[in-house]
Amino acid sequence: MSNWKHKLKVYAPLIIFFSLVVFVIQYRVREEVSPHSYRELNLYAMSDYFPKDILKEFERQKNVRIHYDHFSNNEELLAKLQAGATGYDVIVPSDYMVVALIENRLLSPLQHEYLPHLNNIAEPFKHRSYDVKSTYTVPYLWGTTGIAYNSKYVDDNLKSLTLLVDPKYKGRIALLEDPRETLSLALRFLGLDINTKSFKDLQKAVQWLDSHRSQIRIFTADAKQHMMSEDVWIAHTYSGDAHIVAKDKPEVKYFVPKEGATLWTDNLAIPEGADEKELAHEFINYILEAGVGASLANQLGYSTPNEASDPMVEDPDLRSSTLKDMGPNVLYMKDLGTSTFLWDEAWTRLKSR
Amino acid sequence: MKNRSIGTPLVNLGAWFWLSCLVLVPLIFVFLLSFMTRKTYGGFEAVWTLSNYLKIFDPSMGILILKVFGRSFLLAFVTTFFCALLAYPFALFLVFKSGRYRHFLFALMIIPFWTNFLIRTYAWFALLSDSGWIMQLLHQLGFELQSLNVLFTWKAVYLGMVYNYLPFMAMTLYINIEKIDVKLIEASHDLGAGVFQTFTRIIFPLSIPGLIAGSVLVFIPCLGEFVIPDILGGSTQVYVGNLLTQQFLTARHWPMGAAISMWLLAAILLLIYLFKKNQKTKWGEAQI
Amino acid sequence: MKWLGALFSIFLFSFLYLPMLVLVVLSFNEAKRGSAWLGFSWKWYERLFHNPDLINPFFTSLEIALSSAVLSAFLGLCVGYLIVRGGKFNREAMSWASYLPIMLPEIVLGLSLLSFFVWIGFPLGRMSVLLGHVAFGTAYVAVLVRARLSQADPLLEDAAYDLGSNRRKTFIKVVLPQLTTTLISGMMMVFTLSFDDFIISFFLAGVGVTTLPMKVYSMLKFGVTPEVNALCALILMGSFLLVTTSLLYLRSLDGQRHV
Repeated sequence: MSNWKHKLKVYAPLIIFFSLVVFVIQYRVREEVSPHSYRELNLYAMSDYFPKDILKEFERQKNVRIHYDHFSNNEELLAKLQAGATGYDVIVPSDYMVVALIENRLLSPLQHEYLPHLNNIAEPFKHRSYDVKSTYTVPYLWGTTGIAYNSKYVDDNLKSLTLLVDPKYKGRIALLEDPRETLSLALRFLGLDINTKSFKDLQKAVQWLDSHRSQIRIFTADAKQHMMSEDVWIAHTYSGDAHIVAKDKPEVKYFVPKEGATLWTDNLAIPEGADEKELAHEFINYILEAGVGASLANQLGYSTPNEASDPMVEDPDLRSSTLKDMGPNVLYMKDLGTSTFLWDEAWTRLKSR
Repeated sequence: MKNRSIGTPLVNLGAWFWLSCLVLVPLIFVFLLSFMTRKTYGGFEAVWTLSNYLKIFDPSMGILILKVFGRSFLLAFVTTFFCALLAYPFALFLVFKSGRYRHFLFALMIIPFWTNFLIRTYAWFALLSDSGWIMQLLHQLGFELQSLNVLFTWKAVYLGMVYNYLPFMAMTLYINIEKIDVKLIEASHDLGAGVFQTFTRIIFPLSIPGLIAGSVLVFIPCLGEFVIPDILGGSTQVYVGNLLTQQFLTARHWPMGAAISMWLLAAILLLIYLFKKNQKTKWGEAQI
Repeated sequence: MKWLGALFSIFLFSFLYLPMLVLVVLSFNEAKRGSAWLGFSWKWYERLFHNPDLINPFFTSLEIALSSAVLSAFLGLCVGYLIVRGGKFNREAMSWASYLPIMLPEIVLGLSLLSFFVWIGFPLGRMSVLLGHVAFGTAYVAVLVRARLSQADPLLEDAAYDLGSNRRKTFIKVVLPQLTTTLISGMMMVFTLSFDDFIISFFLAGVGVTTLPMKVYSMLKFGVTPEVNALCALILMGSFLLVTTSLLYLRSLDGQRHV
């Protein structure tokens, strides 16, 4: 074989390599130079929490691109921020986590001048105990965490947690990949305080969950796909997720167990390390619009804290006014301060058994 | 001739930069981290303590950590065993009986190894799901099963592990068995030994280094595996890898995670040491 | 014996390839979810190409893979060279070190780098992922370089040096040419490893940096859309093509070595 042909052969990969490099560079350069060179807003929240059309509308209005990242639970959010992840512009922590975030100085105070729609918020949500003056956060959506079930396989009648320990449904149950929610489930069943700081209580909860381990199919933050594939018949999940599945699978229903459920409010906040603080404010203001709030409730099946949205919310159960209708054992989770690590350890113990 | 290095200072710089910044120092830091204390909400501060290590002796927690390690060792062992069981006959076939298809078959074995393991793992969902193909097939054949009950259980995890590591084991075994001197086998045949005798007395003993190498190369990554239990096990099975990820993410207990890493590291270094020692003993002597 | 072996091999290959085949078939399924076959359709592939959430990770992975291939080749060359030609201390240190990233589970590497970066305040982003990939990529290249160089004749270098060439020239004109194919194979290998890497990228990625495997993982955990099947099928077919081509290429090179 002649020399140059041989050399060509040997260097062929390098040639391909360089063409790839050129390919990538030209793509990036075109991105930078194009008239559609977007500013980016980095959004960090649980999955399926922002409908595509809502995000697209904002992208269109402000000529920006939204990058939507997911976390499984609040603890993961905290972990990421603690590890020094900067660059998220808007995050969506739950009520109890806000306290931890403020305490660790991870949030940037909101400038109310940029949030004219803040007034749309209903009274009860204006003075949330963990952020009385909305200094750092603005309520986003609220709801409950209860039980979703497939009525094709599961008995309709009992609206109780005893459904979870029924051997008929062995291996058909999904629990949440969330220390607070899942341990609270056990605590509630045992009649204990879901905001307990007692290690003994937590141990009992862990033991209870462990003894019913064979009932559990999967721990996941997102049971929707498993309910759709019918691998899971009963899921401890969020009200909105059940609502979304029910759209495609009307046999899936949701209830708040008589033993009680978690009531939660998720909030929008701007972390300290945000790059686009102004854009973040614009986004938050956009979410607070009456029309947007209503669309969120209608599409996601969660309740809105936005009073101005109420008239446009189709399902009356999802309006901000229904907060007072929540039963006495539908409770908020509270921040546990220094006892937080007890829960984290209990969770580790549960998962490791 | 003296082995005189003519490497330029740049070469030394490059190599040492890599070694120190990207390998040694991070590992040393993890060692230090394991002695630090966790702050209230997570994070870590340099308050030195042995508590993370002493946790092993804490009656409830310690047992759990040992359980997790035990589970991982079992997983690694069973995976390695089945990989070897499946790959060994294949490697033998490939080296001795495949004739001109040898390279083709070898390539075919290697290709899955180079494709993304996440995707190969995910591919099992479609088969194992209760609405998946295997269930559908069983229904067609008349089996009235309610649930396959494999996906998200330990069965799926073990299946996924063997599936992922099999090509790796096969590759290692093949490379080693290929090196066996054909003349020894020919000699054995000439001396009147049957196929079985040739195998037990010549081929098998000579292939043992290969088996050991393959096993070590599969066993160690298995110990640290967390993705397959996470995805195929539905997060219900916790192995060392999952425990570590959890300590660093959800539980935000970095010093504890570091301590567990150290335990894992110790176990692995011990295995590597035993492996290297084994390499020095003479396994290659065929019994003639 | 031969037929038994052949049968066994067929069984083995079916086991290995079946899930992947199923995935590819399903990617053409008209159905939005589930495995029931509803008809042939290209639509998930079409959706794929118009989905920026999937295109961006692809380019990110590509960039990181290309860069880490180059950097690893360079550093791997340095390390591999020192293993073979270095002084006693260098040899021992580098030899041990080059095995560590290969033998240790990725999770240990990933977590150690993560802790280290956080501690020194190094920002997590694209760079951190790149450095993570370079960490193990270098080790692989070093092993290859070591293997090749230990076969090379040290007398050539000594001769060049004795004839008055300085260190740098000797290195460039005598050592490097012998390593061309090795470095190229090394780059190909690191490229593939980096592109496919999940664990290290997962721990070291900063905000807004998503590699393709990270994206696939996120889709698996948070809701599988039908596009995932198309994406996975594409990656599978792509890898298949790539690996086959590389193997054929390497084979043809091998045959030329003694020309």
